[in-house]
Amino acid sequence: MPQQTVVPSDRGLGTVCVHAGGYEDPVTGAVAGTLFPSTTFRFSETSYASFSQGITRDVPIYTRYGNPNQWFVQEKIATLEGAESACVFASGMGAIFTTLLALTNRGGHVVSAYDVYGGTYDLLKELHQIGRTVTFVDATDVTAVERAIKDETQILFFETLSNPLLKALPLPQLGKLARQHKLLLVVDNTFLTPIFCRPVAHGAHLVVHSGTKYLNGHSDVVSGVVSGSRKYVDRIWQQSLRVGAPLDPLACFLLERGLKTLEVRMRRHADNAVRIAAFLAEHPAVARVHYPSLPSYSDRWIDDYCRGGYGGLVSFEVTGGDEAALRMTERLRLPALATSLGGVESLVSLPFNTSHSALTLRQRQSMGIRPGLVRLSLGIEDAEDLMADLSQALDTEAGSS
Amino acid sequence: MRNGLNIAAVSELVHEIQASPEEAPVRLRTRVAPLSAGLVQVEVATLWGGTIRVARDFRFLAVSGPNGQPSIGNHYDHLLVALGGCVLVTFVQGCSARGITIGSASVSVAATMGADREGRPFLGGVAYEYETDCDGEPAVLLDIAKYVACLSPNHRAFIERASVRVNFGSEFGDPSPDLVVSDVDGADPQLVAWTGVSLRNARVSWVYGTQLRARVNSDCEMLVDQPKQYLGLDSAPNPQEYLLAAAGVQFVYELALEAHRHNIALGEISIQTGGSLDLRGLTNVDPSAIVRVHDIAHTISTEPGLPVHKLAPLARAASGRCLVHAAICREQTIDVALTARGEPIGAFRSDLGMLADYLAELARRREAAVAAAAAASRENPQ
Repeated sequence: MPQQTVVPSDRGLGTVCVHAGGYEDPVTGAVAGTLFPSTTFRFSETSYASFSQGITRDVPIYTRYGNPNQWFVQEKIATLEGAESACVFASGMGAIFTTLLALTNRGGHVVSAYDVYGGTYDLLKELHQIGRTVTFVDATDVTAVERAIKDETQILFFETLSNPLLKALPLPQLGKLARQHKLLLVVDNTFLTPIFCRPVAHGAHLVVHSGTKYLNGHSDVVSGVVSGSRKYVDRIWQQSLRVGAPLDPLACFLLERGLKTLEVRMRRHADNAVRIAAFLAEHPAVARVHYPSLPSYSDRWIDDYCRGGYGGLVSFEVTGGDEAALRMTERLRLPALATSLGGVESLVSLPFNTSHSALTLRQRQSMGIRPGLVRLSLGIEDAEDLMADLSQALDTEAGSS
Repeated sequence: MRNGLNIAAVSELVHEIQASPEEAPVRLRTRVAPLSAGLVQVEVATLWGGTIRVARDFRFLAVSGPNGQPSIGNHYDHLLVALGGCVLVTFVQGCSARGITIGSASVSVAATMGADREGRPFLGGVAYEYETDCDGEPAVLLDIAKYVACLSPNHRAFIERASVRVNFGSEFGDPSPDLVVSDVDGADPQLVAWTGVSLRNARVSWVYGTQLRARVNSDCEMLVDQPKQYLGLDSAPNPQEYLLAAAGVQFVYELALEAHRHNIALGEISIQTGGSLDLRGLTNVDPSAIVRVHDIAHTISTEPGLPVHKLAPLARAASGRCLVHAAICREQTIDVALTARGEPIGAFRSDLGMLADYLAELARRREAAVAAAAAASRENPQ
């Protein structure tokens, strides 16, 4: 829309977060955004022409097709990702499903990671119902990825950081592999956000996010987004009309408001994570910590594409196993024992009884999820308070073991 | 949207291949393998379009040999559907681009096909007639029909002389040294398996967008469509894939006959047939780009593997008797007629002379458009 602010994507990320896509109301001059809850818009010569020509994406017609609040937040996210275009959805899973459906054909094949997020894994396991097949591999093994490519492969789908072990994707190598084999590389960048990694600049064709997490950041909006070249995002948008999972205007408004503070929040999340990871690594009740800032972290290629931080998620293994981990989390006072991540408040969960509870102990161990694993999403509280809380919860466990 | 086609998407495709020529090449493939009882299985393989792959999930049975079976087509039928399907969808696109709304459109294709007394492939009397009910002016519709005759890749494959390669290695690998260039005039009359010609026809009807329904031999129906990446609904093979299927189905039949004559066991055989399109050619973005389906190549696989020195002579002889190869390798003329709202509105013969004249006309129009745009720019500088 003409009243939207366009900010070059090479501006500072804080500037992009605040200003890109912003809408200044021409009547009131309101600077804090405007909500357009309308589901429908009066027809005009422009809308009739857009029907005739098939250009209905950027024209106010009907909110499932598009809505000003969607356009504002899409412009902001596309600029943050350094991408041409973005499309928002009612959830991250909505974004992933629509992307896979739009960019593959019946008979197509997808290569993904065996330790991809559980919701994505469940979706991929069911894709055969719509005529697509999937091969799961170790995403950090480029040779294994290449071996899994078949004649009918169309997409490589991976996460920049895996959940919950934070294994890093060899992103530039996979970008090259995708181009060499005429495949599309789609990456889920939920954990790193564009503040720390812009995957399009490192070979990804498309980037998906659960906007519910860091992008919104306040645990009060469920949303998803895909960014990339206009060509592919247009196709995904067109598919989204059939899938019917658009993000409603109020959620768009809240997501855009949340994004204004993304840069400062991510710095705080990452600073907290670095400090907490170091603290945990020294604690006698902790057997192992998974976080890229630690010397023990093995996937050092993350520094080829990740700048300024590694996000706010830390995983660690409590020495006494799952029962000890459960006791420890119940003693915590600041982090809420709840699923999800990326909000301003810290959250903690145990894979064994939540995200990976459907797997057997053996299956979990084969994925590297050992007994006692805790997933801690650091919020933006003061690190000292978080450390004190973790300390009291872990000290008791250390004393009992 | 007009006639089920997204006009803006067509325009964006054209702009994309202008700006990014690497998106223009398209490689299509079919695989044919004999089944029992004179049938072959045709599988449409993944298409490589520009910088992406497009999975294809289409399999159909075809009759192996010149005599059809009820409700199953043979190579003659696929060849006619390939021609009719390509010209009809190009016609619909041409009408849509010029703002014409179509009520109905179909094309009836006919040709006399078979083998002459010396066993050489015979293809003659190729003709098709459009019938449409639409709001286009007769002169405009006739112009679109001429445009189609010049820019339909399958029509051009009929009227231009080209070659067919046969190789025995990987199609995407290095060029095989055991390449056989098809020469349909080189068949050995001593190896004639059958002779005779017949008039064959097909009627292809437009359904929606790029979707078409073809009827051959009155009781055999085939669907035609485009991949969704090329503005279709992904519901059926496209006309180029039918052309490649026709070539593969006949070639595997002739190859088996040839092997039988020489008492050579082919074992398990399959033939992959590939062909290329250049989108810059068929959209007239680049007048120097190839319009016709080109670089058509068969890759033969046998199990257990037959030595090339045994397979190559068989392939050479079999290729020389393929009518589909003749359609590709010889210059044909095609008679085109057009009926709108029940009234005949024009007819022309499409051959290389007509092609040269119309392409010159297109070049003149392009120059005039460029000059007009430059003049407008001078009058209204931005």
